[in-house]
Amino acid sequence: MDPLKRSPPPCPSPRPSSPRTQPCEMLGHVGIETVLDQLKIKAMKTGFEFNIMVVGQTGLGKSTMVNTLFRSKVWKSTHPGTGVSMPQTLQLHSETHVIEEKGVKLKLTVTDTPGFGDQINNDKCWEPILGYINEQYERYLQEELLITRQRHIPDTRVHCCVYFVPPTGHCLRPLDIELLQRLCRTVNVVPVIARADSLTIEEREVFRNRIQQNLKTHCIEVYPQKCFDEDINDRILNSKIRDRIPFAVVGADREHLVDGRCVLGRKTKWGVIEVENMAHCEFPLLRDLLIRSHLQDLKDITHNVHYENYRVGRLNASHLLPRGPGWVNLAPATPEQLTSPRPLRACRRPHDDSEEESGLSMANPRPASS
Amino acid sequence: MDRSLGWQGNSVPEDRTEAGIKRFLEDTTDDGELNKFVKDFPGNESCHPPEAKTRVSRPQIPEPRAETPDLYDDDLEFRPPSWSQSSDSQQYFCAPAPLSPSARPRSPWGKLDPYDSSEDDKEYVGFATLPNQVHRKSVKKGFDFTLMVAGESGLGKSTLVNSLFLTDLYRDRKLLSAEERIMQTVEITKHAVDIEEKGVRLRLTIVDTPGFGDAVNNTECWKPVAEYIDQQFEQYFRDESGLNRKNIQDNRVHCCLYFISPFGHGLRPLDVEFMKALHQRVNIVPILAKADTLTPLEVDRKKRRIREEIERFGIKIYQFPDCDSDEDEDFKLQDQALKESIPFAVIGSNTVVEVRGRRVRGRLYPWGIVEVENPGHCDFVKLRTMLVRTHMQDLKDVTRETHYENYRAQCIQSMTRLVVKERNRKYDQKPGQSWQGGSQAQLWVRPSPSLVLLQALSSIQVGPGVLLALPIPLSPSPQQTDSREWYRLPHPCCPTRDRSRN
Repeated sequence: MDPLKRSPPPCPSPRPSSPRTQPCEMLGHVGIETVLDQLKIKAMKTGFEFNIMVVGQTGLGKSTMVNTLFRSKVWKSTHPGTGVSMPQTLQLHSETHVIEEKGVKLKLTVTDTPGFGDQINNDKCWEPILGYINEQYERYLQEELLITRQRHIPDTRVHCCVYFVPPTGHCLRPLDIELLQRLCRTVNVVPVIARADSLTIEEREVFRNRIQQNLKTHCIEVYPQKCFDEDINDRILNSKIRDRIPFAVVGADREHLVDGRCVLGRKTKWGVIEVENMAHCEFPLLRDLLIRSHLQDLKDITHNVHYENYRVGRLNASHLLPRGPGWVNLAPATPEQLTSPRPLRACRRPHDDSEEESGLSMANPRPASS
Repeated sequence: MDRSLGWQGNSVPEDRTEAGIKRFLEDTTDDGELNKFVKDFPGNESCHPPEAKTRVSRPQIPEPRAETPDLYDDDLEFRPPSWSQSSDSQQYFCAPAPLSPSARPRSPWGKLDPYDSSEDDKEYVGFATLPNQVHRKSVKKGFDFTLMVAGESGLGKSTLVNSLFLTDLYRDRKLLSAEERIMQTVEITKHAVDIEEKGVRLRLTIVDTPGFGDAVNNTECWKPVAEYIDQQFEQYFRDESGLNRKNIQDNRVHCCLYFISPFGHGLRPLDVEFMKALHQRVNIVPILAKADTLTPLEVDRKKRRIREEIERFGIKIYQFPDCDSDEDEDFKLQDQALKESIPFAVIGSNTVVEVRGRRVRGRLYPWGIVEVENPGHCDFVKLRTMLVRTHMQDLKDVTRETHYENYRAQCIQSMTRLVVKERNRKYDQKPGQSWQGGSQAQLWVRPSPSLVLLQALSSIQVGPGVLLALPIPLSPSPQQTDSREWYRLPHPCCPTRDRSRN
């Protein structure tokens, strides 16, 4: 007679160890996927940061490439023969811009290295570069160790270093190898074949293969590093990219008319080299790698791996100093610490807890939380 | 789109043919999935980018999201039927194998790609996919949330938790008899459950406080709770300062639901003491429990009274962030309504009843049926929306940026004070002289957590990288003020700095 029925209580899941939501008995849903929205909104409000460094000899088109990548005149590209004298020593200079697209704000910092490899004796020319990179790590570390920290520590660490290989067509030069060996341990490096319009397609392939062999022989791990692939999807994706590294790129900041279309390119007597044309050069691949798909990944690896290596190195090295009161250890970093690369470690990402890194295990392992 | 530096690019739509794509496909190395991929490529797919939202997400999600298939599907085959509801999980970034001169590298973001077409390649740099990149990583990692429920026995805490997260956490619970309760002390128990919805995983940890307020003499019964919270902070602090930061477990309590009994006249002394002890450590959300024993008028009166008392006693409960000024009126009203519903009058239920043909969670009485999810009956929906759908991230942020930072700062300061004292004591004492009894006693009278931490820290570090001079805190960076700045404890070294929301 009572039209209202009472149903039995929601049945327990068949596996009592991990209760889950019961689709059959579930009425409505909790709505936790909205956490993603919340995250996204927060990220859009705070904006993103990205720091990129371009390294290579003068005249390889670094400034032009940066302008092409970000479709802005980040720098005035230096043209040959305009009387610009070559800097005597390697000087780094950075420029920061805030660009916005579709509501997403990006604070972009580009660091250039004019004068790299231009001298007669290029010994130790990588030291200012390493010094700069480590200085940024140091700055972040100091901020992190403060007693009252900022809510959002400004991130000036170099997330990606694009290395321009001159298109000799043979193989990597000793200078390239020396620098790459040191850089790869400190920062994410993406090598590119600069000014690829001086090589034909076949020559490019041969050059590329030789470079890949060189990299393998000298154990240089460029981005995307094989050891950081998280799962099968990543591995597949990244191995496709690794097959094509180094990308053969051409940069241009002028537009020309081709078949009625307006394209970015370089115009020569025998044709127009279109920058966005995949048949002509691999610039779109570079741009997509750096910006459209792997930007966050670059930042994560910098933060979780390279920065952590630096931090561990600094904390460990400081034990040489006498103990004393206070909180923060760090004695000022010696110049030697700043410029020498750290020993190669197979460090993995935070979630990959199956393997132990050498010498980094905690003295008191924590019991896992229930 | 406005940018600080920009091109004046003209873009002309490209003529992209299927034939062109197929021709170039033959040239490349055989890539099975790629072929299939391109065969299903219907030309220029029109993507519907979600408009960049600059507001706190609303309780009602404006656009229904398609079912996000499992991201970790090892099946690489491209599924044509689901093209219409494609999401970033299904499309792999196949660009590195170049197809045709004009084929735009296939975006991995699919429908969520904010760039509509290949013309955008000409005009845009392409970093508006950044939120999607972050999104993808978060989905892979999953989220975690720790919720504490506190209050006397019998106020419906377990039932409410079950109703909120649609789980059955307390199925095997045995209620203690009266005799057993006499001997019971306050414990802290943890239950963890993994919830997955639409591809998003949440690891929810519920911290319960059985025995709270149940004894005859309840003096300082909040102490175990406060100590637990501090312990979690301490553990996180230790991990964060250690050498190996790869697998830090974050057990910090993000939110505490405090249950107020509906039978009293507002807050009782125990409630006040508890909240005052904890408001600097955790986000407190007061709840008016078992609200089905009250009429709407009574609920209103009680809420007002509790709000007054909270203010009078200076209890700092969790404050909702203010709306942006560019939100619409409707949203602002909603936000206002939310703020005025504190404390939330909730009803929980483990049973399902049938009402007007629908099955709902509710409580069956002879005089009617109370529906848990009916906004007219109680504030359950508001609470759930606030806790899960709109403010979960904010709760975590406030815990991380305010409560934890306060704890850390205090911890470091007391550590340095102790160590300075210790050092001074050593320097003061000359050989042959007797101890400065007073200072030593002062130093060792109570092993505070910070001293323990100091010792723990020095024992943990592999090459004990210990401690030198106190750094001079940098001058506060100019940031906009948050209206919740009263959260910040005064810093002895430098004056209260505005912790802002960027």
